[in-house]
Amino acid sequence: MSNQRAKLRVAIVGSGPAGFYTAYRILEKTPSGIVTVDMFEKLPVPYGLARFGVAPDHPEVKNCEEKFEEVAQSPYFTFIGNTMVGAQPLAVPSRTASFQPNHIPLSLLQQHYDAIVLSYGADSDKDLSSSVKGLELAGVYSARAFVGWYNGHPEFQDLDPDVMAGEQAVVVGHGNVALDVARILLTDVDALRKTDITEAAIAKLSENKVKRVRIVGRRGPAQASFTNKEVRELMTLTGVGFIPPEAEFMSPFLQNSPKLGRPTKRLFQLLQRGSTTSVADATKHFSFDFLLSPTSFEASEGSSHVARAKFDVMQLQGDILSKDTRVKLTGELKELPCNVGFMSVGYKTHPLAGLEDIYNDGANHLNNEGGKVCTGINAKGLYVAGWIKRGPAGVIAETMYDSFETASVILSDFEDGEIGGKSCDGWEGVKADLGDKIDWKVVSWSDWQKIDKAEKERGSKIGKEREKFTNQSDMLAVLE
Amino acid sequence: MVMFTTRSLAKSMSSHIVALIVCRPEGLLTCGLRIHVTFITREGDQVHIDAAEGDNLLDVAQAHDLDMEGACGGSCACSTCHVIVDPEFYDLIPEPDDDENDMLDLAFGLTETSRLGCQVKLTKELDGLRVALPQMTRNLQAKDFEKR
Repeated sequence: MSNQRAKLRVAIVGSGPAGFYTAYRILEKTPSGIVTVDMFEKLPVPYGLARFGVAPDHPEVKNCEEKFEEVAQSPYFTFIGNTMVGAQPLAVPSRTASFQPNHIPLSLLQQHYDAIVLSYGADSDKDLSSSVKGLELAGVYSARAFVGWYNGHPEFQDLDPDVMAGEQAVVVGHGNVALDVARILLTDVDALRKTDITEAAIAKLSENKVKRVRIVGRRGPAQASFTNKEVRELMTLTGVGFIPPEAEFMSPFLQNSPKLGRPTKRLFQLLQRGSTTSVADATKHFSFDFLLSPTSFEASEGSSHVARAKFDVMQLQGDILSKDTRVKLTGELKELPCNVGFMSVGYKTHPLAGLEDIYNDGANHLNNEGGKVCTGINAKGLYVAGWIKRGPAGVIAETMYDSFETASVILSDFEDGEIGGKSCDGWEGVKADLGDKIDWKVVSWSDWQKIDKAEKERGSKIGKEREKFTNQSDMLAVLE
Repeated sequence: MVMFTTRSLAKSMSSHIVALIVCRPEGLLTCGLRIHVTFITREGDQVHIDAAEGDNLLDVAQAHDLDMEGACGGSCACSTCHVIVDPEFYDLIPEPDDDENDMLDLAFGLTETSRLGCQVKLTKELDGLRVALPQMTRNLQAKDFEKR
């Protein structure tokens, strides 16, 4: 290493899988003490979407937290929780009754660190309000907010979703978040009780009246983004029947089957085989509805609660078996009954203030080359990992590989002497500069361990792994 | 480096100890069977390992500090322990179940002989097994499996 005596101070913004896998790789690949990593998290609790995104009935996916815990034990790692870097983007509601962020400016981090990894993910929904009317009606929710709500995210505890208005649910979107929402609506609430879903969600879901879920997408089955594991889970839910798609959607795939990629081929086998419970025996049902693009949610006269959803009927333009095929309008319209509706059409990322010039709105991420920010006035020493690097899609494995890539770019820049060796003090320097302005409780890793322990104790009293605190003040009260 | 491997090391040591002290009933002094496995790393190097019967490939790889993650802790819920099995051995391994196939659908550089390391348990039929860790930059070729 040419940069032998120099040290590298790294700040990581966001403590989800991308931040932790980057930290892991950096610390694993460098000799002890050469590199220090400080990780900033706006909430008092770590793990991002591993805690707040992964479905409560997928505990095995959360096993990645064990590795993150190991990383946090390193003497060269510092957790700085309850501390948000940068101001909240304007497009995102800044505070709720359950959460008020404490801000420090990104520019201060740039003074005190050699390298900054932005791994703060996607903080809002793709906005379809200009093309879909009635999103403000009672009973219409963002799937992202619903997931955040049942997973105990402090920013979504005011949601109070109304799942009691009737039997008919519509979930718009053909990704795994849509399937998570459908599965939570269709699963017997008793099967969820032992998961780490919040007790508030259990109370609400036990009054759930939904018996029919339509999972609606703009394109065809070959273009859907959900994965086979999640489809299989729906197919095997107790007492739930799958209403198969019309033959027109299935037949081309049977004829052309050698042409299809392996995942799509297996998806069709799943759709063909159908649910474990027959449609006749089932008490609840779901379907995948294709080639429908939402235009509006509407209420019945004199009501402000959604009653139906309207769609443009679409047709595929080109190869129906190809993943990338687009759709066009047919001119035909379709209406579906809808007592509760969820929009699950994808997430939207935002640049932190000062980074607008490196944000690519269309691509939905910050411009970068292999994780390194190369252009822009504030680019020096800036790196990205996870969804803010490559756009908000993909499973934890993809985030892991892309975080490893970012880590290796950082280390090679360090080796080349491009970064590192700055006379700076990291978090100590930030604290000295801010002084009394830090008037909030900064949550350390050992503080988090106390919160973690308290959550597990709350859980064990009611027979579950954990009962999460769902607001910031309850989390911090553990530390008083 | 060392701080992250202590746990996996401890894990592997305990499984080795079990293999050594649990003697097989048929042989007075023969102890737990050793299975020879060759891992072809992402750099193309071959690493020869003497593993215990019953271990799975993820545990073996991690115990020997090979570059294989098990993000879900070996519970068949991710694809980070994807390995490519030498076609010569592929049919000797019991077929993947639906859960494993669902995860393989998401693996980078999937091949006809891809498996998840956490689901491949070493049996005596698999003695001499060769598996490659998938390359991120190029597809694996037959010569990668050649004995070296």
